[in-house]
Amino acid sequence: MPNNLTSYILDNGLTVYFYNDNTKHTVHAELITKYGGKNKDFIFEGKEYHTSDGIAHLIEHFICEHGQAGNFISLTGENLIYSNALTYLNKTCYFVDGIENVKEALKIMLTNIYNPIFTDENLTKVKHAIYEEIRRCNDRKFFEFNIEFEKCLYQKNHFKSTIGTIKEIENVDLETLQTCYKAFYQPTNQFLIVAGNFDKEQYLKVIKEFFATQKIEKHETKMLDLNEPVTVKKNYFKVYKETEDTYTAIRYKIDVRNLSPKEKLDLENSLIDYLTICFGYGSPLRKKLEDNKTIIGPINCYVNFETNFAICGVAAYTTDTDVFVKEIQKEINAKKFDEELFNLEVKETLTRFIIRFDYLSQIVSPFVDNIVTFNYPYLDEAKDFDISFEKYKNIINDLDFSNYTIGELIDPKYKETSK
Amino acid sequence: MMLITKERGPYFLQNKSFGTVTISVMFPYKYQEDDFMKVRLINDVINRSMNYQTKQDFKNAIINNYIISLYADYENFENTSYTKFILTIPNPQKLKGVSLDNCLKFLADYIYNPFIEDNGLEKNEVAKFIDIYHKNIKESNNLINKYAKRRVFEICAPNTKLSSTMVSHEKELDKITPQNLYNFYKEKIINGNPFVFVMGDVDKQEMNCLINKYIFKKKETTIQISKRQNHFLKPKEVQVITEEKDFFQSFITLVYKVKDMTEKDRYSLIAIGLLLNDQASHILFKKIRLENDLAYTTSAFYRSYYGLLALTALINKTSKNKTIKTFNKVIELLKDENYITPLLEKIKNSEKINMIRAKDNKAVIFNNFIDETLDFALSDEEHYQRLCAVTAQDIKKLANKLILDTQYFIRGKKDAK
Repeated sequence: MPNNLTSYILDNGLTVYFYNDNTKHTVHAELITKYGGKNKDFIFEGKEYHTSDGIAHLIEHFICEHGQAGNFISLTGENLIYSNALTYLNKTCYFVDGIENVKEALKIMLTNIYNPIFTDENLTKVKHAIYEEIRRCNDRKFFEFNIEFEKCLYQKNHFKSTIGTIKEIENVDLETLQTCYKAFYQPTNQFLIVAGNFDKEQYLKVIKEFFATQKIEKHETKMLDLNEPVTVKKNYFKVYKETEDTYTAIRYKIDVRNLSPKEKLDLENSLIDYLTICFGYGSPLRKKLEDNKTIIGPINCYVNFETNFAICGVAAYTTDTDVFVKEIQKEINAKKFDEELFNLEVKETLTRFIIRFDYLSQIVSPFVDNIVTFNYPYLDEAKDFDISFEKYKNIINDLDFSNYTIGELIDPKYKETSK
Repeated sequence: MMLITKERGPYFLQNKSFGTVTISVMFPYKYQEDDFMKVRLINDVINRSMNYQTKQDFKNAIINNYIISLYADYENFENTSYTKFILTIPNPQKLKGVSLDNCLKFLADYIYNPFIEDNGLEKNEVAKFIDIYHKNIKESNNLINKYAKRRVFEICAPNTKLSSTMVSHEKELDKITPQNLYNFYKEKIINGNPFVFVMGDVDKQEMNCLINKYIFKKKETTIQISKRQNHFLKPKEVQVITEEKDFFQSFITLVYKVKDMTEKDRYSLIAIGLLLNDQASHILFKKIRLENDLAYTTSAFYRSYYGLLALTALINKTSKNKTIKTFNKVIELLKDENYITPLLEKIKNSEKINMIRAKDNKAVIFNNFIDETLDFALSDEEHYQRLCAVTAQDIKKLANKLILDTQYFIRGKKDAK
């Protein structure tokens, strides 16, 4: 580990990371639970569970608004701390961030995380706020589009969205909530990171003292492997939503279950470079598709990792979906390699490493992802970026892009005439 | 129109805390309503200099020069528009191979030698972005927050810069050609005289030489720009407007204008905005969401130079009347000195904390430096001192001067399941 990153494992199994940077003025403390919207199928105390969407997010609201300390975001806010919580596909994060009173805010946050007050009355209140949040999500252009992708890419996983539907949330009962909380809010399934300008010994003392007062029940939880195949359920779908231009996306499903954590990280870096070279700003294909007006605007690319799969997406606003898809497929499967372009991408990546230390968030966020997504508890550093051109070629050559789903977002005015 | 004269610089902000050097080259010119779209388009259309035939070539040069980012942006301030070019590079002392000379030369080439064809900017790019702008304007009607805010200003501040938007200027797009756009660029930028700002750990003398060598083309070292002015809006008879739209959420706002607003009132209005929004006091969030479950999102926005305050919330369509009642209670609370006094102290402390927090954010530091230098805004310290001078009595006085101007409701027609 770099000199300014240290870690401790507490008696209860919680791993605590400290990242000191005394050039900063703030302290950021974040507790991450490895439980998010997509973690719906699990075995708890010997019994199998398959929950509806929205549970992890509902628990997050409960913890923030109805913990033993009250509403921890309001409380800490009144003490000049910026705090919040976020639920993702595979994690839920709670944080406090400030200059003064951060230790006290951390205690308040931890109090709520480990002591939510599960009552029917509180559940009703939490649900009301979430119904409004669901309406907000429904107004987002790509909300339904992303749900359809989840339904088509996966055969056995019935996840649609982290927030759930109004009906699903209406039907959630206290018992389900408490079961999921007990199953996943275990110190062995969590980690805490404190970053910025702070005294490590003082914070370790505060954290240890807090947990000394807590009786956290230990439970046996295991994620269920649904044996999701790499093949997709449906190759194509369309969604109708107001849009000036059709938006076409191809998402590739790549099996990574046999890769080690470092191999997954190398794959992520290589795939990002490959997609940038194929489709990024200035690429020949992008120019061709712009010049013949097949696309309007840029080609968007991304890579997301889950436990067993990497999902790699390529998308753009298009005037001709068939031509777009054909060209993307041709390019991504061509596996052409240009050493000069590859070296340029590496150079750009290494340049950007230098500026990461300017912002705490650019250190904390990738580190959290390394742990949760790759089980790789290391800070990314330039010296660890050891992908050679040969290694990059081997990684890309091993990839299978034959499992994919194509999605189209089309304006409702074309409903009658679209294929 | 009031003008002030400023030295063009370069202005230096020595900062060793960050690993980068940022240079901002800002070309000021007189703001004209007809140029609204041109000011924006040139930032998008210009993507390289004449020395690079393709975007790939230009991108490769960016990487080879270790440039972290280079982009154009715009700003309007009173009657002056600014086209700015912002270059960020690693600190040459921290990364071998970074040459300040090469980077400044590259920047100048990008600014003064844009890629042109047939005496105009790149035809395909101009056409592409005009098309994108038209579509973005139409799409903005499908985003409830964007649509609502635009409508609020159209209703409450017509014929002001607040209601001067992409939507109100859309027709200008069809008059723009690659040639007239390039002529605009030549007139305002290539023949212009910019301000230059530099932040980072740099040798001032070296930078001075390079900026004089590559960036400054004119002899004049001073530039006239607009000075900040007040545009206080007069309250008028209350308007109650309801629209029905294809959204899942509904939107409600009460917009207030300040009667007989004065410069002294401005900081009371800013303090009210902070009292309503800031996490330290969070009056709106507490009353609307925590105590009454009326909304997931609620906020106040204000324009102190216009004397305008709006309370807003995204709600369920059935919660409109209750939300309006709660908004009214919130305004009444501002008149309760006992209630406001402790909260006012909290937001003052919160601002003090924000000033310290800002020291970790290089974008904020740099923008504040530029704003202060050009008199766009007070320094952090001056802002804080003026805020500290506001009392609960001032808040009550201003709250009593708030006149309801508009009640605007967008009823979302759709139902989520």
